[in-house]
Amino acid sequence: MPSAVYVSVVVIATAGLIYELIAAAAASYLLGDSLTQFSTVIGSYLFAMGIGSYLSRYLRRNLAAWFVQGQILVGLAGGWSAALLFLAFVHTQYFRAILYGLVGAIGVLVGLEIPLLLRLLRQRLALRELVAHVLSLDYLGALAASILFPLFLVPRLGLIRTAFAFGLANVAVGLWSTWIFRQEIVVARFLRAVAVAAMLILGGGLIAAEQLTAWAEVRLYADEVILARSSPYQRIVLTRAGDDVRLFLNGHLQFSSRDEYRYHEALIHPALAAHPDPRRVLVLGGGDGLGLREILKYPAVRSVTLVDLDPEMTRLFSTHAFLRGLNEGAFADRRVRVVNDDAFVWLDRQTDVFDVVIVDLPDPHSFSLGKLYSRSFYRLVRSRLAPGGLATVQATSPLFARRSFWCIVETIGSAGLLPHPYHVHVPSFGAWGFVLASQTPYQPPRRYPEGLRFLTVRGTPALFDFPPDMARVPVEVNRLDNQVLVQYYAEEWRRVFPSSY
Amino acid sequence: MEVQDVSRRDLLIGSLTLAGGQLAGWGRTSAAAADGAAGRIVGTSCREGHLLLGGFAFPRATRTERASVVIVGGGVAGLAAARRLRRAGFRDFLVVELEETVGGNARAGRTEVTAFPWGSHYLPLPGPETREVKRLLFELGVIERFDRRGRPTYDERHLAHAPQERLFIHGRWQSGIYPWTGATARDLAEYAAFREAMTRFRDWRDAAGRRAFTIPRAAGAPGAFRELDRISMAEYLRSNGWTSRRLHWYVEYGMRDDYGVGAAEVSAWAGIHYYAARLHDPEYEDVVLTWPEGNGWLVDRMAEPARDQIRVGQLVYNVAQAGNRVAVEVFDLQSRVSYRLLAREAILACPLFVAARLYRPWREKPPAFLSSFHYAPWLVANLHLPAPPDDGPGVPLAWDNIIYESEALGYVVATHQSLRISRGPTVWTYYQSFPHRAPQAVRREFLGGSWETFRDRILADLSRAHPEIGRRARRLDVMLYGHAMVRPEIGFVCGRAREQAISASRGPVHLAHADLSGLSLFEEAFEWGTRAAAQALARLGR
Repeated sequence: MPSAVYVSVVVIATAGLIYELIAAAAASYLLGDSLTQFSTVIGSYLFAMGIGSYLSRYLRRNLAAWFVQGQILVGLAGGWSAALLFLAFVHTQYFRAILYGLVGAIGVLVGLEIPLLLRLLRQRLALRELVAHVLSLDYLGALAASILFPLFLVPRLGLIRTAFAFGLANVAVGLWSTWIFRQEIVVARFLRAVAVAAMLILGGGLIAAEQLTAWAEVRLYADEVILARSSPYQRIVLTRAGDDVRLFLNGHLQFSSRDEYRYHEALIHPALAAHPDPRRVLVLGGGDGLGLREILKYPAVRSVTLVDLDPEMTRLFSTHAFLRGLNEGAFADRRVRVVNDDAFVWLDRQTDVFDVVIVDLPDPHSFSLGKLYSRSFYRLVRSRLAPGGLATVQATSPLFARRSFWCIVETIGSAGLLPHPYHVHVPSFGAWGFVLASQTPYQPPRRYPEGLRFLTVRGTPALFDFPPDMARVPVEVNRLDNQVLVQYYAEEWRRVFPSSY
Repeated sequence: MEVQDVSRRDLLIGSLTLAGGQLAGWGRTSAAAADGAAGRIVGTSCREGHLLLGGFAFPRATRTERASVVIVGGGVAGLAAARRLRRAGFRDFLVVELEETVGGNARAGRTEVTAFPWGSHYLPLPGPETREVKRLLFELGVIERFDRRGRPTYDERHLAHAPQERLFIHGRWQSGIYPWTGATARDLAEYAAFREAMTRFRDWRDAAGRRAFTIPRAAGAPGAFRELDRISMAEYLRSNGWTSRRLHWYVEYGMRDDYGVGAAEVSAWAGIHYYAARLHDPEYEDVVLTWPEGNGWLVDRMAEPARDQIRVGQLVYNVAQAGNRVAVEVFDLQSRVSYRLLAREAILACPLFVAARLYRPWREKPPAFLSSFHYAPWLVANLHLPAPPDDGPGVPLAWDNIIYESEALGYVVATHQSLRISRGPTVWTYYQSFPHRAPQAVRREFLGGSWETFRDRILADLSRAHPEIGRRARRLDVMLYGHAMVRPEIGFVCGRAREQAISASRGPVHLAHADLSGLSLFEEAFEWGTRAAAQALARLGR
């Protein structure tokens, strides 16, 4: 009988540490800054265990029944912990509160267990023997967990399944204990039924873990998170894998440092290089400053006004050393003026005109963003263009979201501008589309600034040619009162990423 | 849950009467959780208005002013009259208004968050007959141009942005007002048949090419389908064999929303007018014009050029002919003194139940037709929210949001027309009419009811779709209209009383109000105001 109890101790100890590691790993994965996450999770977990140990003094009778119930509860909370944390991150704004709440709850329950066990076994073993065995096994379990976790569990099972597996182990210990301590437990049959129910719940989670993991991964990031900020407007996440740094806004990829030059050269130069004298430039969106970097290659440019809603974005990209390196310190250029405001509302108040307007806004995945792709908006852009002025609009993928792309083209045309659609291949995005809008017929540039890595004068006309799989399709004009673009976009991207919409 | 709010009696009764009593107890508790919301009853100025009921001795007029035309009432009809006068280059007129702001049923409010409506919140796209309103919209830039066939192109910023409507039904939000969710094939067939019938009414024309149901009414074929005024809208539906609960709810909602009267009481002629008068524009479908402050946007712009000729906080208590002049006696609510306006022409741009108290000949010998004009009470509330609650299950927040089978009419979102991306603080405008209760009973409740009672009722209704609303609302102000609009009842809309009222304008005293149409619509009020001003100008030789 003692040996059965000793096995339980090892299982309890291993599971306890596993939950702690899962919480810390999930937090690092989701929030970045693993040093802070591991420190605070381990610290609060140990503290909660202390509280649990202290609270054990209030449990006077039915110790065995309490022990079994504790096991079932730990199993349920710990088993679902990883899944819950991912869900909380995706669906709520209270991730940290849920993280520490969960860590605290599991810690308290685990902290209760060892004192309870010690008291249960007090009559059967000498104290000297008991303490030596239980505590050494407890530490042995911790060692097992710390080795198994990185080497076997995470790579083979993943966080979510690992959690469910150990949740099952905890409940199994509880179930087994109803036989071990059958003399002490009055309601053994009831507890067994509860334990079986808990095992079914955890087993269901284990079976569904595949879907849960896949589903969470589409929304999350493949790589290490090196920076994560929440502004009132969006969640800014920067990931790194080797030399590839990626920016996500609300989970949508904005650029990969490996190939962003293709996107930004294509966004900027077909308009700027074609304009005889681009003195005044306006950028709507583009708070990463990468488009700015390209604009500032033109000595003719006297002023660039960049309007981005989120001050956190422009602050980050003008102060963070690595990010400043990416945009070559564009925000420090004297010609650049940053305005943090809503593009539509800001533009509506302007009386100045611009030679080139770059519209680099998030894709139309909500009705409020869809307004920035409406006929009204493009008419406003037109009214702020100086004679001979040009505008370029990022216009999502003509391959994956073909109707969306051509809807933007059509809408720009309906606003009284001549649309010139073109596309480039950006490996991290796939085929990507832009629309250049002019007031008079447009001629592609005859020269580009030195040092471009993607655009060439000879290659440019080909960008304006659309192969059959991206060719024009009949679409409606996107107006404020119909917002057809938001519907096209949702339908088309749902087909590409079925689980993410 | 705040347990102290459930009294022991509630708990006892609850346990004896099972679910019913208990639910009532809990309902009260959850609504009372709205401790955070401040607010008050903001109007209307019924206490001042009720001075006209007698028993108050207005001080004698201490001075006399002269104006060629005096317009009594600064609602849509009064402002339309002022606009018509100004368009003729005529400046010698005054508008006197009881409330502190002009606009009548289209008035609006404003806080640092946004402007919001206190009354009517949209205008349907004007049809071919609605000429004068189209001219106004063109002046204001809402209509950008007319094509060769005279069809307007709108500045889409003034069109209700998508998504326009959603309905909370079976725990989810669906798009559109008709309750598609869970509808049977029979429901859908009846709905399609109903739409088809309305289309036939819409397209019907008499030998002279006039439609039957038009806005303004005066442009329509006279007397067409007047037999439909003898039955209720509900009877009309039943007479076609349409019994679908969903169709009846849909039509009932439209009647409550536009007329403040249920389908069982509203004249079928008026009910059909609601669906058949508006021309379906293939380009714009069924979109309407709207602004954050609703039709307040329109009345503010109508009032602005005439601001020097408008006086607010003025209670007119007597209008009488004096020789070849009209004497209009006014009590200034602020200074508590009375004065007399001597005019050559007076336009009574107020509801007929008010005109009956002002106009001396009517006060002395009330014409019989007045007793046929009945008025529907309305409640409008504005809720300030620091941020909109979650959209809830189903389609996202729309402009107009309706809860299926609620007593009230749902809410419109004042910031919906905003061009900002971020979802900041907002104001919801909540509407309720009282179709199934005697108007007098509702008015008594308005006079005696406390703000807390209305707040709790509104929050309890909204919490069916937004459980967290009680905790979210920061401010909740309530406007109570004892007589919001004339009720288009059976027999009244095409009846004699209304025709008699139209021809009751005598000499220099002109009536101008949507009451005369029997339908409380912006366009009707606008038409009567414009027409009265034209008549006054003609009499003045202008």
